[in-house]
Amino acid sequence: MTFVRDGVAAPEAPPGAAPTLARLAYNRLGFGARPGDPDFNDEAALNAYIDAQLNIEAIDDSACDTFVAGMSRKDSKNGDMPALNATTAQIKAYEDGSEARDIYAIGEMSDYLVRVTYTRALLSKKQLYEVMVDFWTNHFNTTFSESIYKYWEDTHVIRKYALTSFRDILGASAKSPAMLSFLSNKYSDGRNPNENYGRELMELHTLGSINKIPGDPNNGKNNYTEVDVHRVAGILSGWTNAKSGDDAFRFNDTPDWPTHDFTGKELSLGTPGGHFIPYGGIDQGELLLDILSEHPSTAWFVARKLCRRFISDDPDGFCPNAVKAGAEAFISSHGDIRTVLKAILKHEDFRRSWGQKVKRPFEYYISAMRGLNLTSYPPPRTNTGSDFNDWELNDKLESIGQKLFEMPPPTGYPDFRFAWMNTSQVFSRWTVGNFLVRRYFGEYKQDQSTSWKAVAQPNAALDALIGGAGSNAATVVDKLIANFIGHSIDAADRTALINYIGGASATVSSTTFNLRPLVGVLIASPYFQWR
Amino acid sequence: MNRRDFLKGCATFSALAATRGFGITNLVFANSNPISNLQSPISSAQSPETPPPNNRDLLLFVFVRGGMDGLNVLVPHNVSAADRSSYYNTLRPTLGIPAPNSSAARKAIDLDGKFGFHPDAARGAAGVNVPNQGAFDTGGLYELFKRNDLAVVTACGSPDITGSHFDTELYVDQGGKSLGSGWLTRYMQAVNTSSDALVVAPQNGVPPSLGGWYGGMAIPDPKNFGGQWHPWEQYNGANNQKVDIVGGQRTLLQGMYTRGSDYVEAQGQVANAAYDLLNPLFRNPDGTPIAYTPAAGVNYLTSTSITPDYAHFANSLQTVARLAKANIAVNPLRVACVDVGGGWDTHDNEGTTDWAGNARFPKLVANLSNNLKAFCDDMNADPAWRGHYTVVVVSEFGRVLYQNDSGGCDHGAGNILLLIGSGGSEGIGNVNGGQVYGNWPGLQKLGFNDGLNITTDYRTVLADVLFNRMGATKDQINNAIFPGLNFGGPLGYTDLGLLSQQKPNEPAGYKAFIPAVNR
Repeated sequence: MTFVRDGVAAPEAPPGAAPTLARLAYNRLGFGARPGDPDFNDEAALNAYIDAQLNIEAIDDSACDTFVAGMSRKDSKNGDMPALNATTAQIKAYEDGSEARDIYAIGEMSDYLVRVTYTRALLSKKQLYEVMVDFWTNHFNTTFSESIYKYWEDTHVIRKYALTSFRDILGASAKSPAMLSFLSNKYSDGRNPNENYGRELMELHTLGSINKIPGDPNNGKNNYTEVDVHRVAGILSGWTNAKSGDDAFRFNDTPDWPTHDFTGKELSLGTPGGHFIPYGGIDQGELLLDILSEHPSTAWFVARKLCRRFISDDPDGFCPNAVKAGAEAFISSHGDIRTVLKAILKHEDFRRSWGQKVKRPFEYYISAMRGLNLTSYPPPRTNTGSDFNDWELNDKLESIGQKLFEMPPPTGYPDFRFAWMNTSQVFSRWTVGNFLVRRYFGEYKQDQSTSWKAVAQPNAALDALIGGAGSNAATVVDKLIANFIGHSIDAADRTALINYIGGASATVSSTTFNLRPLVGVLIASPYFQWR
Repeated sequence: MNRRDFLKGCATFSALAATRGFGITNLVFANSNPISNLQSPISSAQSPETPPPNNRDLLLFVFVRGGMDGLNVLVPHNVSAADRSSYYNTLRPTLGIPAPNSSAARKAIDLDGKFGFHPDAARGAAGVNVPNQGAFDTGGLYELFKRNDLAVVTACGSPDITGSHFDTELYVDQGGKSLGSGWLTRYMQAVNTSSDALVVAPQNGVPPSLGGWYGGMAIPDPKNFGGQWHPWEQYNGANNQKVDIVGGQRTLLQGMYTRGSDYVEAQGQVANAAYDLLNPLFRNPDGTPIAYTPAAGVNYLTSTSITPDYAHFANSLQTVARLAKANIAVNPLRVACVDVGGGWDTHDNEGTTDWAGNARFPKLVANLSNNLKAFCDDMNADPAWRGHYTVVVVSEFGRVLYQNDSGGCDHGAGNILLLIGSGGSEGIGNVNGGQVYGNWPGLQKLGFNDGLNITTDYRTVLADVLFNRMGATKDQINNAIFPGLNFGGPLGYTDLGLLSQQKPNEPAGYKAFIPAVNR
């Protein structure tokens, strides 16, 4: 055992048998299994599940929608925040009025959107859609800190186009007030354009900096030059929301700052012969986005990133064929997102990928809540008798490091294990698991009649989770393992867990002293960290 | 809710960027010739080509995130008449720090006839007029400089500076561009081949300078080290029965984390090993927390009403000091990282020397200066540590030479770097302190972003520390730690061969850490 290790080791499979394909699907295509979710383990059933998840129009999600609609939209001074589908003008009006009311509008609206996002991930039947919302949120990363219109963007860009075509979501992002602020295009003037958005548009949103298409004559070469960056910035100059009154997107074809550079421009874009963008206004930028969306490097870049999200931290090493299948589907379907997802998720590389992904904090705590069969976030206050407040729960969740909508660099949150799992995270996740259990299933009480002994309080939800008060200890442990882990664990671990709640012959209920910590241990266990 | 409450939740990744900049990326910084050579940083002191083994300090890497306004910490009050009157005083008409010989009540404190410290970097020194004085004021950085323990390097910075906090911080954290791991990670991997070192970051996340490495422990709060059931569990007093819930959980988890050899299990094993090592320092056998008591007479500045970072920096330094002084027999603390925040990104309301109103800078300087001084006093109270710890203080970039219209100044370029050792006044110092180093570029010629020109790649100073104090060879530095740096030799610190026998806490055959964990 040493403290000094190589920084990057080849991923090794976790101990224990791989779970069924159903469990793999719930972990990867959603935010984890809920107790009672149907099991299956054959390819046809998996493919049917993928098709059903992608057919979001046919999914009845009214229960989740109703719950979200009923969540309080009051801010901390009891004012009404704009609705989720609010216009930029409504958001602007709220922010303009916030100073006089002595509130920080960005913080208020961010808190609300985080609650809503947690709730949807927890409750929605459109699990794959919610995962893709998270994927595009990070692919087209912006932050609340930088722009209050992150709130607008979530509804009108990310959620609206998450499962449509790449060109649609790219175009909407390019005109999103949050993106215009975040990458400075808002201020880009054709006479001296700001290159920030133009560069990230190519490096992070579409092409990637290097051509990584296997067998391509330009493989290993840059996808664009510094001259391209400058000219792309010129093409997109005048794409702004400055001086638009309601902060919504406008194209400025007047000579006033920030103006557009109308001249025609040649681009190389790693393509033989290059491209020519003729003299023009907003159509220049639209043509550019067309070219970028159809560029083969974009297909490979997005397919590789989707494979990293769904299959492996190391897509080139582990699943190059799935990357290829996704890229080819991207090209042939002109970036139809559902077609690309089907090509990747139905690929055999997905089915054999257990042990390739570790949960990030967001996935970790939503999957814990789903395993606990929770039905609301945050929990209703009347149910708990707990001793700490919702903000403490938020604080704990955020302490493991993935505050939604607040990744400062334009890359979005990374999706590989080295970025997240470290020795501190082991402790933090343990603590977060315990906090969830306490917050939802109630705290110990001191019993004065027995010398202030701590006593576990009865809790109906916890009894239901273990299959009813009075269940056998071994049965309870197996049920919780099924809920949280979904495959058999090391026999010595199972025995230790059973002994922790009294041994194989014990009967267990929510008043069993060690039951709550046992649930916390399962959530903190290495088995539960895998996605 | 205010902005600060909102941002404090950004936890791990807040370390990546205190705030985003304008996102100007990938502009190549062009080196400029220095206008005048104030002083050569190269001393005649010779260093052995291959430093002796086990001759290593504790390295404390302090990162001031946000872009410290170095020109108002180290004030160039008398380098040249033009710098003073035509530039500093002209470009910063209401934001300049008055020269030491001015009639202002609060003014710079002269160091060497050319540069002076901000008065809040000299709080408690004789004749220094600062507001809100207290027992925690013992001379600060000024006193360390006078003791020959503090060297200041001017006009330092990244060779790939951009206007972006993120890009530039990442460059500093990684010690280069697109390297994928932190420079301290590569140092640990290259030099500490026997797994012999403990590394901590006393904050919520492990900073990117330790990125991509297993062993870095983040210890934000020793009271709550390890998994918790609820945070006040360990404090139950009076009639409340103590319930050791996490103890039982830990036993179960320690078993579970030994079943495999994958990445997750390895992390858990390291965490559990570190827990076994460190928890006895933080808690009594009955679970009650062990408070840390600094050495007699040492006063960290912990007032949350004065420190702009809620005493985070003071608490972090105390964690480092207590771990260093705990004499962990098999595994002394080798590297510690502390990020300092609190609002160094002073685009507005920067202020000068007056603490009234919204002025931020004086309190930021006081927090940094007083607590570094307290840390040194705390460490020096143990004679074994004198001459055996090195503190480096960096910030991603300095600020624009001229003030803006909001009472602050924007992202600039060159900045000061602080290098602190100990034992200077006893002749056993590990840092040739009491001097200002670096090629002073002058204020007449604006550098990148209209900031101070950069004349010293900050990595050469870090390399110098690694070479002279931390057991790294030039090959390790140039090939692994700072690839392509071409570090050629010491910048001018004492040769360490003299001091190796005095290294504390290193019994014969000292090598490896750590509690036995079977793998």
